[in-house]
Amino acid sequence: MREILLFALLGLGSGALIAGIAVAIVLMYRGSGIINLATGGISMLSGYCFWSLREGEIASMGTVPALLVTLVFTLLVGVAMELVAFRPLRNAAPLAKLVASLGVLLIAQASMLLAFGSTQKPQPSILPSDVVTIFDVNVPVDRFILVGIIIAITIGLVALYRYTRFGLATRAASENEVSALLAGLSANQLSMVNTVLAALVAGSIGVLAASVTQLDTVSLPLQVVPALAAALLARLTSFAIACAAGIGIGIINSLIDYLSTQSWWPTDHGVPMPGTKELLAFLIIVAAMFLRGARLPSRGELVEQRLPEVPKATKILQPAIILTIVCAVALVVLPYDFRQALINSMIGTVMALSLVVITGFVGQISVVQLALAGVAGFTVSHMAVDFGIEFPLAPIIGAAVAVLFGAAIGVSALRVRGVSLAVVTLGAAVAISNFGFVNRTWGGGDTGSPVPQPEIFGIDLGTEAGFRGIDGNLPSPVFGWMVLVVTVLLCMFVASLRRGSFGQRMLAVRSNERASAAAAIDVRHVKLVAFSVSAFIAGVAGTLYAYNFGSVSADRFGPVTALALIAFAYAGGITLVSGAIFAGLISTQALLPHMLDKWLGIEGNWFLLFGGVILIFTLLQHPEGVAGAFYKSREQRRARRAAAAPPAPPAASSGRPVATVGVDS
Amino acid sequence: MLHKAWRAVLAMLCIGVAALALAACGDSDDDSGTAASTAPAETQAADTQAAAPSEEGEGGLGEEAVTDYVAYVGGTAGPADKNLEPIVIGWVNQEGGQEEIGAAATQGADLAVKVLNDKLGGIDGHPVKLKKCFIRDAEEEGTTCAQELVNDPKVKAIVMGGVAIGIESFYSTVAGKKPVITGVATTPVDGAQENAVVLFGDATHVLGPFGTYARDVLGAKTAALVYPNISGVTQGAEALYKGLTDAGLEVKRVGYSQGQTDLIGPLTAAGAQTADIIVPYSDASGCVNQAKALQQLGIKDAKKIVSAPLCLNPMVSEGLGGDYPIWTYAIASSLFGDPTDPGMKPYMELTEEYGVEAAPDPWVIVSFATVLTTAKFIAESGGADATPEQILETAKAFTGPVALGAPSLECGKYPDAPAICNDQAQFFTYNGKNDFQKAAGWTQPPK
Repeated sequence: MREILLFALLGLGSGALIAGIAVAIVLMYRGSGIINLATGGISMLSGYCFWSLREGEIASMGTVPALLVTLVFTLLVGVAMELVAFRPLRNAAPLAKLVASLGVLLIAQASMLLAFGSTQKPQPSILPSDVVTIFDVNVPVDRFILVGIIIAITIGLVALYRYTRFGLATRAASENEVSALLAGLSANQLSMVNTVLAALVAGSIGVLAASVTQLDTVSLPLQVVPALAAALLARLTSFAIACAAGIGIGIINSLIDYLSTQSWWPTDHGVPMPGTKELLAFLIIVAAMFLRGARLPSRGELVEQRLPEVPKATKILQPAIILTIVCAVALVVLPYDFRQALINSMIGTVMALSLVVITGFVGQISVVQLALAGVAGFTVSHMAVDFGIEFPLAPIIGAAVAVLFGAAIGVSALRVRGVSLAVVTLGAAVAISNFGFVNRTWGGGDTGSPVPQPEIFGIDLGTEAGFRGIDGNLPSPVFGWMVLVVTVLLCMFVASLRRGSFGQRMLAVRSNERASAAAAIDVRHVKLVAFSVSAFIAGVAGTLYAYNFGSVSADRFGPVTALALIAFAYAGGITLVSGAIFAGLISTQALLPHMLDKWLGIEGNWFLLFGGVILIFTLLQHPEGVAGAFYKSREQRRARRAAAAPPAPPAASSGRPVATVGVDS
Repeated sequence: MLHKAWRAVLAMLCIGVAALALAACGDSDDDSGTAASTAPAETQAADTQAAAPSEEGEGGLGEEAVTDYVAYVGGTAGPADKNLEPIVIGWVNQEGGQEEIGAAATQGADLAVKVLNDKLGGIDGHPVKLKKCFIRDAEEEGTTCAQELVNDPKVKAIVMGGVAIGIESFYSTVAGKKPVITGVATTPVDGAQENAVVLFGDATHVLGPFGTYARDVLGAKTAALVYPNISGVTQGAEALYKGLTDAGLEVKRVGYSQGQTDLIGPLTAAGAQTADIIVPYSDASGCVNQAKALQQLGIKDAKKIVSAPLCLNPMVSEGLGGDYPIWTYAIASSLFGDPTDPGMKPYMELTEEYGVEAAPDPWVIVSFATVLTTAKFIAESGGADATPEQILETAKAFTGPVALGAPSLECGKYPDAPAICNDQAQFFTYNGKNDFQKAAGWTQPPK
């Protein structure tokens, strides 16, 4: 009992950090309806600002002036964020807002990397560094102060929102924006004030938590993951529950640290089982969502938020044949680096296709797709290394295992949807990555996870195959052709899926689950099948990644990369097969980044900054994604031509059917 | 300084500027004007003052130390013949992304090439050229780097700096087509390769001597081991556990989550407040948090906090305000300024002559020695006519002493890690302000 109490106290520091960011997330959501993935990023920016003002990087100020300037800086960041990224997207789909916040995070990280480098900074602590002895163990006193400050901030916010006119107005707008508007309240002004308040809370954490974290571009931004779990447990509504849940997560983590030293604790190759904290956090979230059920409270927005249109493809075979011929030739004639970039683009396209199905067609925001790809990739490696099963059986088994995982996640999605599903699947991605991929038994082995070259009937289909294109270099076009065939087939499959009756049912579910059920559509069946199909596509992408690299690495399938993938997919056009192709072209080391690097020298952290800016720009200018914008522009041109042309017979002027089905998530 | 400060101010304003530009774009059809006004940050090297190890303890390699680089590489004193075709060595390092392991390693590789071309007669008279490829932050870059170097027939061998990202795809693509010579391997993947050689050791095999040091030098009975659960690091933790338990110590170990920043809980759970030896083990990104937590718990005895050299990194010193954690370090190479090591003197003279800013950085020392030793292997394998197989064979047969490294090498000693050639380390206690004190000479894992 003594140890339990002690380790509960020792968890207060990290708990306070998580709680502070969770409270800021709730504050932001209540004010503007945005789940801000950049909340930890704002803490980081304030931390950098305070450090640079105190330690002579910009100035050598005293603590109080530096704090005041940091406060003003944080305030400006909040204002800029609201005006530029969030206000223009007030009526956009929740996923667009989520992606915008990711864009803000990318810009924040890249700016600090370019300004101050990748090294950690000695952020000065402003809390006392004394130590008290509890149960014969030294415990720094600043942990208690930090948790006290977070609780005080939470109480202040609770009071503000309960007893002031501003708080009541925010609550009113949060519950029903239309009614609030009719009552003379400005949703925009309320959103601005709340965003600035959230930025100030997050910024304060970035300065106050110096003793429990390190100042770099990763540590604080990553705290958003456990903080999201805490905020979700609070249904993104209650400051008190978010605060308590955040502190609770810190305490549970600390208790797990203690328990992992016990002899009965499960081990992996002799070391305490990694990833148990993340797995436990995921299970708690899933249990809570199941018990509390349903979705996050609706905000009663002014305009119904919809995902972009899902146009039905009228021609599938013709573009598929043209694309196949062009790519097949390109794989032979292009120099090896562009050949590799083209292969990366095609695999990125397949990965994005899985998001087109699950998010674009069914409206389920799933962050776990990349982790499912990793599951398939690791399965392919284990099949070869442990059981001697190779191509083509291994990738089939890999995709099948991904489908099993996908279906299991689909079960949880039966009661969870929208942005809350995004958080749950983010938790799943973190758990799979830490508990699955880092584990040496069923994840990466001691010395990596090798994947043998794919061969069938003695013919090498891998990157090392004998035919090396015009330049005679690696990778072999043969592997590219195999990837091309898979990509084209899956593109055609997804396009056909949209055109078929099941596609119609998916769109109906995306539009309105209750109405779909009333129309005799089995919503559960549609969701489960959609999750399984998208998991299969993700699994295929995972096996292609594995054969492309000749190995599988946990880093490639991490949750941060998964968020970036969603951003690429959304920017490309998440409801269109052509959008997936565009997403593939801008994915990691694909054709577009390769050209930018090779010809313009834009790479590394500059590409990160460039990517963040372009992401937000795309969302503002073309919320339907680049491919959607192309489609829209083409349709407008056709409409203009049709209007200018002499009247045509009715059959010829019926135009192409366009589905404008939205989602209420 | 003013210029730097101005740059930093601009950077802090970058978000606002970019944002406002975007806002303007959002209101108009003009696509331009989104450029941010930040400048690339200069990589901050560690404090470049010379470290000054005390003369206590046995040191260096004595007479075995490599002091004559001309003889070491089998060259001739003087410059290389510029009329001959250059011999190309591939160079891979993790640079330009969010996490850099050996940010200054390339300086060491460049220095070696300059020295080879200016003073050591190149390789068999041929000038030496580096073909560089940098991995920033994606697994895909491991593949592209490997392809770039494998596809170039002029590249005789590949030398690795500090690389963790993309390492698996890199080796899968190289697949033995070119020999890979690594100084310090940061992951266990390098050591497992049949077609590679790791001259100074990896993050697993040089950790065994911790047990010997704890038992023989500290007389320790209990140990606290704390590490993040990251691929590669957990394997190192297992090696540390084995080394310590083989030496008869009772070990408590706690692996914490990668994103966990407050480490007083894990340290307390591992019994750090009462243990005879505390081993905080991490890659460079986790050292600052470990150092801060130990400091906050009041654990300050530098002799009993023993760490891997991964924490002797500019990233760490900058994160702690300009100095490395005041701990004891196991180092598998020579230490800058060690007066007991005759092999250090020529290196220090060269770095002064060529003005190498980050000369004390262990990664610069290791990469300099690794490129030099690779040149030696190529020269001994036939110079310009050397084949990859010959170079690898020569490298595997090398028994040391290695320049600025261990007195003896035994490649293939570990069947599960055939590339590993060294499992010995020296121990230095750091007293702050670049003052290192030798705590133990080259030490073997416990028998």
